[in-house]
Amino acid sequence: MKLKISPSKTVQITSTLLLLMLGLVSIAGWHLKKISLIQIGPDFVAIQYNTALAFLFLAIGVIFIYSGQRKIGCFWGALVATIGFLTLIDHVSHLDLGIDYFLTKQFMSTSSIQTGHMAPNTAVCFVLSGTGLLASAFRERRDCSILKFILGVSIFSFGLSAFLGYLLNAQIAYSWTIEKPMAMQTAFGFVLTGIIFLLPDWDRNNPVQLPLLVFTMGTILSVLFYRSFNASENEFLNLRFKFDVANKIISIRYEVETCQQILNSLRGLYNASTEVTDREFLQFIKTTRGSRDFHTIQWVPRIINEESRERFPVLYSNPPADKNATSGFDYASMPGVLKFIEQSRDQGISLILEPESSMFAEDSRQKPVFGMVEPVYKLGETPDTILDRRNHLMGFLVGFVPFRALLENALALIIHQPIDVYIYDVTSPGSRKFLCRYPEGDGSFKQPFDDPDQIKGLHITETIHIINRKWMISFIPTSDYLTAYGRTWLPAIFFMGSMIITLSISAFIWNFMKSKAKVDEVRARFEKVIETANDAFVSLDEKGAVTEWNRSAELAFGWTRAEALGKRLADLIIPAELKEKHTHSLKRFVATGTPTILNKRLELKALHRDGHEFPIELTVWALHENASYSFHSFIHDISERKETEKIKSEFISMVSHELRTPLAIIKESISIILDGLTGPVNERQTKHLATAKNNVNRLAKLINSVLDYQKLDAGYMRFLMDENALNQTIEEVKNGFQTVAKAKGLEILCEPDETLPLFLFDRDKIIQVLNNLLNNAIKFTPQGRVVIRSEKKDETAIVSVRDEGPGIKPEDFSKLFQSFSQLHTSTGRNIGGTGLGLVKSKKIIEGHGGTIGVESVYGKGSTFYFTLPLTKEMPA
Amino acid sequence: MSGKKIVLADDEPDMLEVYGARLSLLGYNVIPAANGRDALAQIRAQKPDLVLVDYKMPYLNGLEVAEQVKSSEELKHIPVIMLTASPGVINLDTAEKHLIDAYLIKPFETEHLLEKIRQFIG
Repeated sequence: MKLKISPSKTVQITSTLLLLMLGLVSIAGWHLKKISLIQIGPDFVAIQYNTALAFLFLAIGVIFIYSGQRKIGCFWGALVATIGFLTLIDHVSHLDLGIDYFLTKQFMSTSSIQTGHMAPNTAVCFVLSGTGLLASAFRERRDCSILKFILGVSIFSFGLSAFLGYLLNAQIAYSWTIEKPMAMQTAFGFVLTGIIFLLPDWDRNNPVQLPLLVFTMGTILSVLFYRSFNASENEFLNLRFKFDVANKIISIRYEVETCQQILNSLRGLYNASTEVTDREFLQFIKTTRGSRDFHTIQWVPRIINEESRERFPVLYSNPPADKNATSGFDYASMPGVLKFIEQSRDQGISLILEPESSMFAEDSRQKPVFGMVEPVYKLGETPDTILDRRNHLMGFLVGFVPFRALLENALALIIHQPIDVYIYDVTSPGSRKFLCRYPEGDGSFKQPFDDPDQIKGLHITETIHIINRKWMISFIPTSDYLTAYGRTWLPAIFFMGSMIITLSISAFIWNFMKSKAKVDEVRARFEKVIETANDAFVSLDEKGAVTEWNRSAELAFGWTRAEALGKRLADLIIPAELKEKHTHSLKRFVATGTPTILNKRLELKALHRDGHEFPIELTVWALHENASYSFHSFIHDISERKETEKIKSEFISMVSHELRTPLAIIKESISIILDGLTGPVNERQTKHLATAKNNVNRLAKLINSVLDYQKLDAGYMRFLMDENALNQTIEEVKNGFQTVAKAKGLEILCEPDETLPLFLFDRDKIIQVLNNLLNNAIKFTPQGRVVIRSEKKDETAIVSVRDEGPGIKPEDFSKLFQSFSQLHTSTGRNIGGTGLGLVKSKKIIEGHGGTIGVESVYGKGSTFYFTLPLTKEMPA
Repeated sequence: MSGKKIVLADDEPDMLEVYGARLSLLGYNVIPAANGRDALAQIRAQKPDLVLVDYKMPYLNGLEVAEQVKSSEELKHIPVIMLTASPGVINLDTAEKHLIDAYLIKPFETEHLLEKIRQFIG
């Protein structure tokens, strides 16, 4: 048994085998830990283990389905779809369903290889492929076939766009998320898969498939374009945002340090004025309130009480004017704070207080605030040792800074950017304390974020060390910021634009292919009609070259279509003696538009390839299109007809001859008796014999007519052209009828045109015509007159014979010149004859190149006329 | 008029019979011939005053007989009238000019035949 494999089938089988190999080689690569088998190059992404596995399953499924085991094929298809689907769920839900470790725990630890995850676009393609495989199993169902086609188009488009992405270095085409790109061989695998699905149903002439493919490719490219545009916008926004945030952090840090320096400088001021009472100091620093960022600065003295315990009373309200003492709060009573201020004392530097201590800030409207302590020692200088510091400590300067003021001042240093700021204290491990929020944008907080981890969208959270504390600062761009630097409508507009273009192109192709299919169908039908016609169909261009040549033409002339096309007709089928005439008349028609042979049924001779000539009948018509002519003809081989005609005419000749001889004998026999040569004949016998003789004559006449007609029809008529005087000929014929006319009481008049010259015509034949016309005129005119007229008009002579007979109905005109028809109309009696007279006359006149016709008014008489060209020279 | 010799050649016996009878009754000496060869032999032997010859005959057709007659110095004075049933086969108008002196197409009127005969031999 021999298997016939179409090219489409070959591609399909090759693709399937390649897919199978791709799966096998990649799996082998993973198991053998050969990077070269799973990674095309060092800069390329490796094909994942489960991707390779899915390709293997896919190839197995395809093989089963095309070998008829549909149920098994379905199983593999479902498996592939499931792998893809679960991976997708993995990606979307951020859950680990373990699909990445499906059937393997092997991972490559090479730094160039990302292990584990199948790319999301790969997963989508596998879902489509698996579904496609399921659809292929129900191939006989039309909707499944369409589904399979659409799936095939999608897979092919995804694969091809990813593959092109690698070739054109457009990452977005093969990588939907930055960390998980589709491998190059995976992309190639999907191109193969697409081909396997598409090819069995691919029909180049189908008006839907190509536009659908274009549309899908266009859509995918549009989406990729949109995503890439978006990504570059995002990238710019991120950079910009990072830059702005970095600037802000520098400013904030700078501002806090400035506060520290102010407190430090105040310490010097305090030492320099030892005489100043606390009260005076307070009065003094009141003026500094509001300077820079400080909301308030307090003096917290160290007081050692009776039990030698240190106390650090904080004034939280100004003392009344009449009292020196005021109620206060001892910092030392707060364990956390105490430890903290002791640290400040021991280190001799200013520190920021715990957030809780800000409760001592005076004005709650200024909250939130943070406090800063600055140790003040006796003798002004910071003592060198901790012991001295402890002994010489006089107290602390405590300043409170509202975050608002701090940030306002800090951010005023740099260009205003609408970014919201959230500050948290994260100094003690495990605890996070919300400090403040600062709306730099429109001030409309969406909500205070207690937990910066909950912030969605674009943001930067940085943990920074400020003096002794750790602050976590979250920066969130406001919508104003995003509008200014980030997302625009451009990608969306471009996406819409490219989709519109894609749609338009698809629609155009669809429309084009649809109309082309229709045109092709109509053309194919017409070509088939021409091709199967029984007559030869031949078309020519203006130059006489063949443009159409159907099957019958091949058979008739012996030239194949391929041989005939483009050749001049004159070189193919026109006999030598007609070539020049053909070329000449073609040229003349193209130049002047004067038709010679168009739209007539002609009998000519044609040349067969083998050299024999044969008679043809043809009709030629011209078309005028695009400013040039084309000629078309149906040609009919009439050899057989001619042969039949010849046999017929020979038969008629023979029959007429065979009839004439016995008629002559019968006639003579009757004559001998009638003439009394055999004895006396009585009157009754004479009468009967005369009747017999008359009928013999009638029969003889009939034979003559038939033979005459047959001679004409067979084209045997020969003309003896000579220069003759037409008027004289007419006169002679007229004289021949005088006797008959007189007997009937008719008058024959002649109206000759004396300007008629001598010209060439067959005198005897024209006499026959005149005889016939005059005979008819006299026969059908009961009384009155018959007028014969001659006239010279241009280069023709016109002869008319007018009678005053019953006339002819217009509908009978055409019958007049047909064989064997004689009108027996108003007269109601048979006038006798075969009705061949006019037919013969017509042949004679046409043989001279003239025309014959009749004009008649029914009831008033008829005028028969004929024309003859005034030919002077003998035709060559 | 009587005793004038006429060779009547026709392959149709009835034709010879009826026209032989008619011409004999009119006083001519009719010598019948059944074919062209016969006719030529009779003409040569009898030297008739007139020849009436059919066109279509065995061995020699009427025209060939006429040709033989007209090509002979001895015989060419003899008028030849052709009686034919096949007017289409030869151009009688041309033949008449060269080889035959007159023709009649069958069936013809006896009067016409007699007229022609009288025209040549009185």
